[in-house]
Amino acid sequence: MSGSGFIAWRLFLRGHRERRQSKPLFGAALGIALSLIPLIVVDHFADAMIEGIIARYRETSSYHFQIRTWEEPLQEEWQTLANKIAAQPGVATAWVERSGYALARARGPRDGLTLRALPENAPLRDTEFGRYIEFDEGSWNLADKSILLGREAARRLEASVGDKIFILTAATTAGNITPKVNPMTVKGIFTTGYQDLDRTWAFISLDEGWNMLAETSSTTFVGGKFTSLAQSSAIWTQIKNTLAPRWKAYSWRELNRYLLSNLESTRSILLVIMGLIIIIAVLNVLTSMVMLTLEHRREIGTLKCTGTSPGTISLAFTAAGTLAALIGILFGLAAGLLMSYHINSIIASIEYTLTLINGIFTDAPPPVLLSEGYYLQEVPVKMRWLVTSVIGIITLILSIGAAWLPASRAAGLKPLEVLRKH
Amino acid sequence: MNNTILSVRGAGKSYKSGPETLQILKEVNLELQAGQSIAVMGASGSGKSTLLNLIGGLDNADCGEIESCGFQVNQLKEKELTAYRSKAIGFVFQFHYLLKDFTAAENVMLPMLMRGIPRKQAKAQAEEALEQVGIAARSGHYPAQLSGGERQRAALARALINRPKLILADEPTGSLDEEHRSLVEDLIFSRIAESGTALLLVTHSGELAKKADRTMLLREGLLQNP
Repeated sequence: MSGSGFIAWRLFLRGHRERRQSKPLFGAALGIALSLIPLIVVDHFADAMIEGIIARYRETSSYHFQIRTWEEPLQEEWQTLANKIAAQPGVATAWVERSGYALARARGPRDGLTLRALPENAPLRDTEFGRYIEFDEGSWNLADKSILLGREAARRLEASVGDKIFILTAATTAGNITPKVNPMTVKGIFTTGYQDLDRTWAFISLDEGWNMLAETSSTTFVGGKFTSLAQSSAIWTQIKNTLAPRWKAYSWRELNRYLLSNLESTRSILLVIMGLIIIIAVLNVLTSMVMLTLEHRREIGTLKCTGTSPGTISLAFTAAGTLAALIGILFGLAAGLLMSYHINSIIASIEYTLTLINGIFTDAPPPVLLSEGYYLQEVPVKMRWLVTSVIGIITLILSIGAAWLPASRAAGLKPLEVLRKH
Repeated sequence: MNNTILSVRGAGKSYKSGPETLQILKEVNLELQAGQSIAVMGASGSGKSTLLNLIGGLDNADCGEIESCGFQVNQLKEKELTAYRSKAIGFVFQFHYLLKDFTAAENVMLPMLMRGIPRKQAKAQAEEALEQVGIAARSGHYPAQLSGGERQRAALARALINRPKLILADEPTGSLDEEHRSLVEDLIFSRIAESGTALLLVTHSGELAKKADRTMLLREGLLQNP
């Protein structure tokens, strides 16, 4: 170990030997660790939430791409297009969807619905779609004037599986819009995992969709999925090139651009907050180093008298600060990653504790920290090693800078001035 | 053969004190030969410590020349000053100024580490140096765990560890009680005699000054024979 390394190590260990001594570097290490833990957890949480939301919208709603037109093609033309797209290499599936708004009434009050008319075998043709549609009651069945209701929609309509439900849609007869009542049977109540989607969505068969939803008050398109989204660029270009001019192709990014933009804004704000947390942690290193150098002025003077160069002193103090930062960073990252990995269990434990306290002191319903009302019932954690490493490296670089500033000033102290005061 | 370790010619130093300028040293001349010891005595504020600080490169003389161990002290840049303090001289202050976070052995080995000597070798030599000043058993203790005399002996071992040509001692036993004072004084002189190091000693103590080869008196900014 070099002279500066030896001094740095002793400076870092100081305070652990004598209880009465202050522990600025220990405090700095702790400060950095405590700042990094929420930073890492928030980063993982936010990323998982954003990825989860995007994936869910893409797989259940926007598809990987859509083909639309301003014209009014016949049902057969749509189907031909869907078949043609589905036959393209690299395309997993493509089907026609027709959607529109309707008013529904079951046992409870009337409520608005977004009717989505899909092929009867949609979950079989697209397993990713099927994966995100979970049934509370009943199952996927769109045969014989059947309807599937979102959980929240069913709750508001007071509808259960087997109930008759009346769907009021707009029909166009001789240029006039007239109401059309469609009796249907509830065959399933599902959830997408999001309350705002479950509140309005209802699935009907594509054939019923053509009957119930007028051309003028509905949207028809071909929705498709790639076999691999990651390798879809060339296929996507090919699909666009083969389409006749009447058809317009939109990627999932274009279709979800407002959602993506909002989520990106959220991510940016989080990054700014994270940056502030890092800066606060680094300021902690700076103040700790200032304290350390102030407390060691006499030692610095002595070291200079014994032939220690200013460079060595500066290096020793910088190394001591860096060592503290490094320990704080390693501990903070490890604890942050551990907490991120077990975030669902931690939230469940907090929920359990709150429920327990709530049960003892009040009659109010137990608190729910993660519910579909808050978008997520469970945080889908994916470890972000690269981002975590980058956060660690940036914090370390900033900490070295914060340690170097007071250290270089300390190295410039005149030994005589210091020793005179002591 | 020229055995002169220290040569001070016409050194002067003044300090500003408010509107006044205090001329501490007017024209100091001094020569010290290798292995020789000189005790400088004088009243408080006469400039004894200032003279030592000028020679040690802790302060700059306003005028005159100070040549110590081959270094023109007044003209040294920071890097050369470091080399001068590291290789040529050793300080012993009235207060030990041991680093409180380091054990006695570590305090002694620090100047060696600063010269790039491997830690193992430095530690062995530090242990030996502590043995020579009689506190080998206390080598693993921190300054707070040592008595005043032990601390001063550790400081002496530190000053001598790099085998300097010149020791600058400023009231080295001034903070010790009678019993320890005598012990440390004897140790200083025996150690410098063994190592052939020159000693420039600043003290109020006539007893201590008598142990030096020569005594000089600093009065009104001038160094004189008593």
